Amino acid sequence: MDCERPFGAGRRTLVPSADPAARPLIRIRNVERRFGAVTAVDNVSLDLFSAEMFCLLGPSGCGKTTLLRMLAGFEPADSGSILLDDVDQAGFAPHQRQMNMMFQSYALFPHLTVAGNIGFGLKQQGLARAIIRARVAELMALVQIDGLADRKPHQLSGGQKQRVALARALARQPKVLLLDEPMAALDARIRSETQRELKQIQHRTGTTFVVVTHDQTEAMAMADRIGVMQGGRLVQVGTPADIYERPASREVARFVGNINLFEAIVEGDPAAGEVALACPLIPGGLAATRPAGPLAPGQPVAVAVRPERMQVLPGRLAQAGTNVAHGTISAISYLGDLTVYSVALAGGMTLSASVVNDGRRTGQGLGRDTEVTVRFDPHSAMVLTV
Amino acid sequence: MKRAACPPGWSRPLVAAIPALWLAALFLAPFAIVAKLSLSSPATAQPPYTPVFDLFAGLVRLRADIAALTLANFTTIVTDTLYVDALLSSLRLAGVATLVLLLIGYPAAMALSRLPERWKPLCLALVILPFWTSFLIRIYAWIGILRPEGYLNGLLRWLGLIDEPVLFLNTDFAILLGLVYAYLPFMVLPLFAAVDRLDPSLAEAAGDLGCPPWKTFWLVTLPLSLPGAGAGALLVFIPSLGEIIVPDLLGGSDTLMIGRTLWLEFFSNRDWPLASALAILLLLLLLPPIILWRRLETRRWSAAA
Repeated sequence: MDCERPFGAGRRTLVPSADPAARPLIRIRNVERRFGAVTAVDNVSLDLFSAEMFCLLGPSGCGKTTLLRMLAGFEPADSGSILLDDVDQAGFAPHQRQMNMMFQSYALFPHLTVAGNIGFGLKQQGLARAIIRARVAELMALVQIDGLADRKPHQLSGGQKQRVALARALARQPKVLLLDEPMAALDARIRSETQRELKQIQHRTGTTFVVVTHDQTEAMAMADRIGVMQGGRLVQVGTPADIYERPASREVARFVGNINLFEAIVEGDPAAGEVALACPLIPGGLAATRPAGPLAPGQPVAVAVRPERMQVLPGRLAQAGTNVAHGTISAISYLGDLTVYSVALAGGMTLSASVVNDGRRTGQGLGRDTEVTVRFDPHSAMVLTV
Repeated sequence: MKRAACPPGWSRPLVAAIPALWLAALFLAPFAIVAKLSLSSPATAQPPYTPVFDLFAGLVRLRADIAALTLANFTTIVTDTLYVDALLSSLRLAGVATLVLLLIGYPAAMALSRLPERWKPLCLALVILPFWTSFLIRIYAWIGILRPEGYLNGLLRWLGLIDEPVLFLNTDFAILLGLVYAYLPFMVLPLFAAVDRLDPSLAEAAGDLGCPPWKTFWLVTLPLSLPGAGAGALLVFIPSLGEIIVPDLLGGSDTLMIGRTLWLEFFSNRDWPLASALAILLLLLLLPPIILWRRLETRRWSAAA
């Protein structure tokens, strides 16, 4: 490993996964891991590219941490293979892999100073003391903890500990940095700032980051690509916009952001750019964007609409057109930048619609129990077949 | 929060007085008696030493008694090679036993701490289980195993490894074996407590940063469990040093350990003053490491706070 490589050498210009000629840095092929009767990681295949920020997103217990620990070498694969630069990693113990991990608990060595912790991995490489000292100083500047070199971990704040853990994991200039819930132990207040910094550091070092998180806003804020895991399976991989705008299933749609789901039946000819659907909650019927896959008339599907794509109007519109529903406001959540209205429809479903508080539309007489009309555009409505 | 109704001026000394009295009655007073005995001279009388302090015999007699106290016992111990040799061989055997116990105790403690949570209590109970049988009987059982016609020689002969019985019993090896066997739980339990407390991700982090398992132990597990190792070492070293039963039953006549020597002086020679002087010297010898250990521990605690 070349330890003299300066930071920033891997600066990139485009998302590598978007380039069809790009060669994956890591190939995960049909990997499985079972604990007794539980399949923690179920037939996962995934390509990770050089210098990308990849988030493994999923609820707790979905297998994302197990997959991360398999990459690090702490868990063996029951079947399947993990290749780094086309080399199968199965025969390599954690200390022989060119991947480093930042632990959720940080796992800082309590008997060593900050400098001792950061230099720990470099010392194992047998580098000269002066080189280690210089590298440690460089890393401390990178994560902005200069001046803390002689502190012990118990003398650090949570945010400082996190930075030491990050610097320690970056010290050996791994090809891949694995981060297990890096923000979980931080205050919500400093989380978004730290997310931004983490992305900057990732960009400057040009390292591939694989971040495990259960927080979808965190994944959206940081990731170049997101892999959504549910029940041990990798259910969707894509850019944050892909995942949000074109969720692969009802479950992904529900997990990433808020969503309104209408159970509906495909009607008429689905060959056109728009699909007509019948839904008992919407008398005028639904019109939605045609999905990529085949659709047959009579097929039961879900139509998904994000709350911010819903338009809320006071009163009852006379005509019952497509994508128009009537209801009453059952709850209002004022979030500062947004106001979220819960609208109870006659059919028993409660919709959620958010309105940006941009100063123009606020105070338009929408109160509790107000009768309202909700409508949305066909291009804002997604058809989910799974 | 409000304090209890007791005036702060005298409630604290009262609370502190109970352990202080306890210590004075059960530790300081016996110690003073032994210390005085160690300065007396042996005598063929009842009790077997002079002078015997009699507080009602008048000041003149008391002054004469105090003048009769002597350091002769200590001089004898320091000059007679018998005692020095016994002490040195005790230190050697107890030291080696402590080292062997550390070497056995660490893997045992680490294996215990890696067991699934539901198995830990059972396995810890198994470590303590031997205490349910008398110490004397358990050491006696080793005679049956180690003697020339015993089980160990029988096994070795059956395996074809030896033709003539090997002399195990009445050797230093047997003493060592007995000490290691007898004190293993005292080493394993504090080590387990120290190792089990460590976050498993610390060892994983060391591996992740390039340490093979042995180096992870050396750089992370060992330094972080040193308090447990120190406690275990003190718990086995101190009683090993003064051990009587193990050298008496398993040791040879040519291996003298200080505890057994003390026993012999007391009960066979009826030389109470010399035995007391030996006891005092042993105590003085053990004090510095204990004090040093306590001080290190205190510093560690205040650093962690």
